[in-house]
This record gives sequence, C-alpha cells and structure tokens, in this order.
Amino acid sequence: MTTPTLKRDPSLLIFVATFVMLLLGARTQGIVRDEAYYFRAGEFYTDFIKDFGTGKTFRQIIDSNFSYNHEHPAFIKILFGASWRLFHGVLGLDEVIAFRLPTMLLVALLAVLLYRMGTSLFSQKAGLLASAFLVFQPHLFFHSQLACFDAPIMVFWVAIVWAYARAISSHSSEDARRFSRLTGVLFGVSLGIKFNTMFLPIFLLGHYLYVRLRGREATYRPFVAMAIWGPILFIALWPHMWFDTFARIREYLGFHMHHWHYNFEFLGTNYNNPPYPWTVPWIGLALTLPLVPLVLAIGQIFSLARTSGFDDERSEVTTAHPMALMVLNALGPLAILNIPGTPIFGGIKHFLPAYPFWALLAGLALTRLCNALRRNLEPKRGRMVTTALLAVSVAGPALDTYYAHPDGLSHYNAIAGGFAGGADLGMNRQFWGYSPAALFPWMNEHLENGTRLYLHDLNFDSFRYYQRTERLRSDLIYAGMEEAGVASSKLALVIYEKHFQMYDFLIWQVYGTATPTRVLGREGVPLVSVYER
Amino acid sequence: MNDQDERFERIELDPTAEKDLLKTRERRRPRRPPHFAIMAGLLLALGLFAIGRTLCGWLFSPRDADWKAAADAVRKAFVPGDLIVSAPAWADPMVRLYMGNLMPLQAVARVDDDAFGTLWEVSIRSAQAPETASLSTCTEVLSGRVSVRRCTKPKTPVLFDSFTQLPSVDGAVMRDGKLVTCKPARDRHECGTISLRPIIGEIEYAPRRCIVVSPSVPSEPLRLIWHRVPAGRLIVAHVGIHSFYARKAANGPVKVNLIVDGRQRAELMHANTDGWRRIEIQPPIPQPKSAGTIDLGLELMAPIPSDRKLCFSLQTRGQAMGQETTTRPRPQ
Repeated sequence: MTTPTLKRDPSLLIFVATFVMLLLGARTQGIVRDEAYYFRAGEFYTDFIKDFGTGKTFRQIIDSNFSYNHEHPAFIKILFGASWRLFHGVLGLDEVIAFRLPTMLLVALLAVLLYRMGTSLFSQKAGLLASAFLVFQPHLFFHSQLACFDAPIMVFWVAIVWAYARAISSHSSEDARRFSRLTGVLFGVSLGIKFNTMFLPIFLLGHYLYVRLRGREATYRPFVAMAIWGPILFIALWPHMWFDTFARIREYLGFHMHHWHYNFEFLGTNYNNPPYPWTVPWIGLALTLPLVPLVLAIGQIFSLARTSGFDDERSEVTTAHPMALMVLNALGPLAILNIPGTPIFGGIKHFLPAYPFWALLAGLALTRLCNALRRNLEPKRGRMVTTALLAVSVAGPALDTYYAHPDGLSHYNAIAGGFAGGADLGMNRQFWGYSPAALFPWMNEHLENGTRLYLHDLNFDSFRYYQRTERLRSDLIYAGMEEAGVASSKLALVIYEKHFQMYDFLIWQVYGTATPTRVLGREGVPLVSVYER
Repeated sequence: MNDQDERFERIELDPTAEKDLLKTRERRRPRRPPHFAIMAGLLLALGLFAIGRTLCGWLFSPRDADWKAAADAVRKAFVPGDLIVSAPAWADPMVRLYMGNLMPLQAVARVDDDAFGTLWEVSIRSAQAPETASLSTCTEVLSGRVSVRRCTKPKTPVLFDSFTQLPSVDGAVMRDGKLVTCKPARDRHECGTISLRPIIGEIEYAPRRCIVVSPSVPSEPLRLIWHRVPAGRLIVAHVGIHSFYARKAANGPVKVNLIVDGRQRAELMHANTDGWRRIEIQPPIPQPKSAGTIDLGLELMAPIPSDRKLCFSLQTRGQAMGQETTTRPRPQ
C-alpha cells in the first residue's frame, strides 16, 4: 500500500493560499477594541528614533515611547508598527491591513509548519489535512486576521514544540544543539508576544520525563536554552523592561496574575466573578472546533490512549514519543484555565495554542482511516469512498469558516447549531465590539452631516482608525461613553453580549423608545441594534 | 434434557452434508462491517450533517418577509394593552424592530405580566416564551419561519404604581440623628446624598421599570411613603439589584421593609442572586373613613451600602371597591 505523494513540495502553495484567504477576510473584518490599542502602540513603538537628538536622555526616550500599553510585551506590536510603516507608509497599502500583516504571515507559516509536522509524523496527506483543518476553523480564522497577540502566540507555541521535538529526537549532537538553541530563541521571542508560553516549559518537562521514564535517551539542552534565551530575549525585545527591570517585571506578572474578571457568557450564565466552571475550555473547544475534525481528533487521542501508542510508526522523531507531545499540547492549554484562581478571561482565544494540535491529530486520524479504507476495499471503491470522506471532512469546516465570516466569534459548530444554536445554548455572542463595521456602509450613506454617535463597546481608538482609513465618514462625531454619551447622541447602537443588555435599556430610557431602526443579525441572532432619535 | 433436545440429538448428518450446511451458514451469516468502515460511515454522516446544518442555517433562518408577515398578523388583531413576547428571548431585538410600535416601554420593561390579558407570542425555531408556557388558552395565528400565537389569561389592573407616582412620595432619611426629607430635583428625588430615580433597570439582564436608590446603613434608613393610594386587592412589591456592575462589585444584602398604614407588614433581606424578587400581601381592610385608600411605603437599608443599587417597584392591584371592567372590542 503506497500513499500517493505530491511531486512538488506544496509548502509555498499552502503558505500563499492561507495568506490570501486571511488577507481577503481581513479586508472586511471589523477592528476589535484591543487591536486599536495595539495599532496605536505600534505607531508609538516604531517612532522612538525621532526623539534621538532632541536632548532627551535614552531612558526618557524609551519611557516616553514604550509606556503606552505597557501591560503587554512590545515585540509583536513593534512588528505591527514596522509593517504599518513599510506597507502603508512606503507602499501605500491600507493601514488596517498593513498592521495585520505580521499575524497573517505568521499564521500562514504555521499552516506550513503544521504541514511539515504532519508529513514527518505520518504522511504528506496527514500534513495537508492538518493545515486545512487549521485554517478552516471559524474562531481561529477570526483571530488569525487580527493585529493582536492570540494568533501570534499560538504560532510560537507550536514552533517551540516543534523545535523541542526536533532537539530531543536528533541523532547527531550537532542537530540537538542547533534545535535546542532554536527552542530557546523561539521561547524568548514568544515571551515578547504574550505570557502564554510561560506555561509551555511545564508541558515540555512533563513530556521529557515521560520520554525518560519510557527508557529513551533525550537531551535536556532545550530546557537550558529556554532558561538562558527566555529572560534575555524577553527583556531585550521589550524596551520598557530596560529600566527598573525587576519592579516592572513584578508589575507585569502581578497585572496578569491578579487580572480583573471579564464578563463572559457560558451556557446562559454571565460569569464575572469566580468560581468559573471548569468545563468552560472543554465545552468551549467542543462547540467551536468544526465537528468532523473534533471527532477525528478525539478518536485519535482515544486510539492512542487505548493502544498506549503515543508513538508512531513512520516518523523522523519516533524516539521522542511525538504523539504524546502532540496530545499533551492539545490538552495542556485548556487545562491551564482549570488552575484554581485563574482569572475569568473568557473567549477561546486564551487556549488557542491547543487548536493547531487538534488540527494535527485530526489530520493524522483521517489519513489513517483513509489508508485503512484503501487497504481493505477494492481499489475503485476505496478511491471513491476516501475521496468522498476527504471532501466532506474538509468542505464542512471550509464552508463554516466562509459562512461565519466576519462574525466568527458568534458562530458555533454543528453540535451547537451555528449562530442560532449558540444563542439557544447561551454561549458568548461576541466580544471586542467589532461587529458594527458591517453597518458602516449604511451609516455612511444615510446619516446627516455631523451626526453624534453613541457606539457602545466600539471604543474611541477603533472609531479613530475607522475614520482615518475612510471606512467611516470623517464628519461623524463620537458622542462618548455611558449615559452622557447616549444622552448627547442622535444615533446609538448596542452590541449584544449578555451583560451589555443594560445599555439597550439605557438607550430606551434616554431615547424614549424600544424600537430599533436596524438590527444586524445572523440566522436571526441579533448582534447589533441601532436606534435613532 | 427435554424432548426437544432429545429430538435434536437424534438427527444425524453425513459428513458431506454437514460441510455443505456449514458453508451455507457461513454465507448466510451477516458479515460484520470492519471497524474502519463503521468509522468512515459515521464520519461521512457527521460531515454531511455539519454541512447540512450550515446550509439550513443559511437557507431557513427568518427573512425580512417572514418578520413582516408576523408583524402584519399581530397588527390585525392587536389592541393597546396587549403584550408581545419573544421566543426565544434572544430574538427580542428582531421582534422590536418589526413590531416596536406595538411595544411601549411600560410593556417591554414591565414589572410582570399580571396586568396583561392578551399575550402575542412571536417565535422562531419553534421556541416557546416562558410567559406563555403555563397558558393553555393559546391559538396559532401564523405558522412559518416566524410563528405567532395569541394567548389569553385573566389580567389584574394596576391601581397604583410607584414608578409613575414618584413625585408624590413622602420620603425621608435619617442623617446624624436628623430627618432629611426628599425633594424633587430634575428627573429624580434627592434625600440628602441619596437619590431616587425612575429608570429602566437591568435586573438579572432583563428590563424592569423601577425606582433605583442606593440605601444607607441600618442606623440611617430611607423611608418612603405614598399616602392615600387606592388599596385594591393586592399589594405587590418587586426588588432587585440594578446593573451587572453593582452585582459584580459587591454582594452585601439590602433590607427591605414593606409598610402599610404605618405598620411593617413584610420584611426581607435581598441579595444579588435573588433576581427580581416579588413580595405580595393582602392589604388590610380599609377604614370606612379612608375611602378605600391606604398609606403604602418601603423602608430600605444596607448593612454594607457600597455598590448597592436597589431598584424597586411598588404597586396595588385588583379592582377597587365598586369598580367594573369595560373591554374595548377587538378588531375583526
């Protein structure tokens, strides 16, 4: 039995196809509220050179340019800003797209990396399916378009795992050193994006102990490299940390360890104080990962557990128990949210690094199944059945991803029943106030000159970028926030999340009516209501 | 061994015939599909189900025309004073978009459903509104992507409503041993540093017309009295903590005393998790000289007053003595 392989390496094709899909999506994706802060930070962080020669001390230059949004590391925001300066400033590309390019490029690289991992673990088909299952996920696709941290940290998480696996399975000590160093460098860079990967060494250590307990030899060098390169690059890539280093690190860690609890709807209840149900990440994943890859990946995990086969027969990295590593990373990011005392963050974005591993496991499972079918059925029938199976397995998630755009966060899989099913179950409708962007063509066409707008959760920074990029007319006025904003507005909108109902009622009270003039919805599920005086 | 077994024992086959029989049995025995085939079949079915679900969501969710048809169906027989309810509740903004002119604020942000005799249930996805769940007198008016049912039930008229009668409140709060009286100011009443304001409150994420107040410590209770209100047959008070901000920031209880004709008639400690809590009592038999009226009020205090935004409604209901109901004819 031979698996047909492509004559040419499809890596470039995967990269380009992923990037183009994300690029097309990003054009119509609303600016999310955090993204607007990061746009602004990107502008600041890449503008510090202008301050040299102005008489300011080096510390003053750094502090004045890097103090904005200093609760998050700077590296990825510097990339957003550099991309904006190059692609918008020099090449004239749309500003929002220019900011978002680094994320899209990184996710396109991840699709290639996953293809390579799938290929090395099992076969080319497994790699191709893994990259397809990665991109065709409505929630992951949503995050992959944005100039935020969640998709980039996901990419680095997978890259670190890959480098670590290569390091501990290398046959030559030279390779082991090289990949160990790469593990350390990738880990250090990832700390310059978001704190998620601080947890990763725990999982890698767990895997390393598992490998050693199974009697295999494995180098400990990746851990040494992470211990060295982690802190060095964390500080080097974040100029804010160059002064008062220890106090600022303490402040950074304290901010995230004692983060306030967000409001998040889960199965009909709005949670904003602990305790948070432990089921949140698990049910969250079960309702957001498209159905077929979800079932495939679960099947793969159980099959591996049943046969104690966290190892694979055809792999460059067989000595390192790669399947154990994949499963550990498919489950680990979700388990982090089960640590008692974890703040309520909400959103699957906080365990997004698990999703590529689920895609990989699904790709492997489907390939195994197809191979079994072709081995056991007559050639013609085997081809027919496997083709149908592959088509249905990939077409469903692809269709969902296309259908959900640009409202990926409101979409839930077939188990829940799409947009409407998610609303029935009382799953979080959306967050970050991006969905009103779909109303802008209507607003631009119909609103009177100088209309004052109450935009609810769509923050002023986003509004500023919408106007700057001519997505929204420049004569429209941001009326402000809360009751004063509603009172002074002529048009008010409310973005639906369970806890935001009170803003709907506030508008009724001030406007004297509960009748909206427009409702933006999907499958009858309201996302935004517009009221006009 | 029974007879039947003995009979089987007696049958003897020659070896060739036995072989043939075994072969025939082998052929007839249904072949169990292999493990991978079951999985492939299951996966194909799941994949097609997922695709089908997406296409159905796309094709069969309510369209503009469906909502308009439902609005027309309601409008034909709607009488002011009827109540329109949405099912599921999350569809409410869509219902208000198409039928908002039939949904005044006092209905949308109602205290409860008791004052409404006719309920129009506008539903999608075959959902049923909790307001109509216990009603057996419902008739289907329209069936489709958006369905309409008309339900009837006995209604109880409201005789006195604190929300509309805030200007006539006689209120006072104790401050440093002195009584500070409440005075009207713009859209509210101010009692020293405490203000009373009629709002559409958010109580457990639902809209309620109520008066919001931040009570003070028990040694400084806020006392609100409405004099000579029609007694009716029932006194109904509702209390709840307004806004998720307040419920998130604090969890101290608020003590509520219901006072009728100067006497405390009910008492409760209200907490965040109690939602929109109802207190219901029978009014005392009015004194002959009172002309069927009572003095009705509340006393409010919060042991830990930080972030306590109590929103309340106080009503008397039921027909007053000698009143008769007249019903406006329903359009045909």
